[in-house]
Amino acid sequence: VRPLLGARVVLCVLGGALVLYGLQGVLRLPVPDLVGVLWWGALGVVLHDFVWAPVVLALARASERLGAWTRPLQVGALLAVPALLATLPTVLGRPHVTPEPGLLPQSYLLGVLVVVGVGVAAAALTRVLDARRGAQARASSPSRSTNASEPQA
Amino acid sequence: VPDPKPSSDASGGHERRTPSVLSRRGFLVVVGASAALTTVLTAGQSVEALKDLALLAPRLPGVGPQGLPVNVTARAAGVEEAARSGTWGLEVTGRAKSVTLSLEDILEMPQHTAELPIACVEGWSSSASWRGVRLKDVVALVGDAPDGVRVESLQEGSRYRSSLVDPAHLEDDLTLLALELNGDVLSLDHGYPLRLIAPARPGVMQTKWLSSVVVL
Repeated sequence: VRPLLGARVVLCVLGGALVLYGLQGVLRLPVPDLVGVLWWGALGVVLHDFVWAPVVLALARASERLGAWTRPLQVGALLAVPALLATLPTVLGRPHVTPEPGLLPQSYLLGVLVVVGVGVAAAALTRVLDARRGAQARASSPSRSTNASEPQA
Repeated sequence: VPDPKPSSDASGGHERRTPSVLSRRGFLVVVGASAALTTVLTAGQSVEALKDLALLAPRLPGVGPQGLPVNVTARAAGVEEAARSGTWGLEVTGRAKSVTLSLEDILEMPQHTAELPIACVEGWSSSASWRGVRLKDVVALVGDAPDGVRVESLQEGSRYRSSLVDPAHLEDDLTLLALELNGDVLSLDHGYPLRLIAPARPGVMQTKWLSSVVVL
């Protein structure tokens, strides 16, 4: 428990330092636009809390009902979906009417495959770890019914 | 996300069951990895050293005309002909008087250099060296502008064809009407013959292909 507490303190200090760094950056802009920054931040909170979070929670509830076989899917989706959501909207939906120098300079299919591949690899790893943990549990306590499993993910 | 409840469901409980959702710790680890993945994939749009990792970035620092990305080309904006025409002039309209400056007039004014980024709301950001005249020097030719100015582009029919420059931006020494980018004459796609470049403004407000400056 101790190292965990230490890690939390370090994370909190780091997070606080990043917030302060951001604030001083905003305040030191040559032309501070605090109202604009506040709007931007508020919109982010609204979108996150009232649109994105409910969707994720509904999916989590659905996975919980479907059973443990969804765990690898959860891990894969947690990795790949945010990465694709954060990047693909600026790549897709481009009007490719006029060629633009410097626009879309790389192979995006490859990029998507790499990101999806990371998700699939993480899902496979989860599947293997879950199976191994299940086997260990069965071997070590064949008769007892213990449910306090804490996967290390 | 709460820790998974030990499931006491129908299947008997002879064996230790894997919970159907991740543990809190597992969830945090995966979310941390996810944040790291997204950061690695996007940071290269602004940090040149990481650009090889920005696999899904629509633009990369250093890739574009004159080594700088553009968002709208001259062709897409429909300004190629107007921008190249030999009759181009910058109309500067004050509250009491107006002047029209030719390219030569502007070149004869004191030139300044500023290192400023194009920071696009798409998420990419790329710095460059700009050279030109200070906007406030140009505006001073027609008097005071206590409420700032509006700059307008040759471009027609775009919601970004003009932008407002508030008094603080107007007074800033770094706010330039740029003629040069990275040591060369502005390319057509970067706003030739003249564009606005100012600190702390989104890229869409760094108006290109200027045709007029109007005191508010």
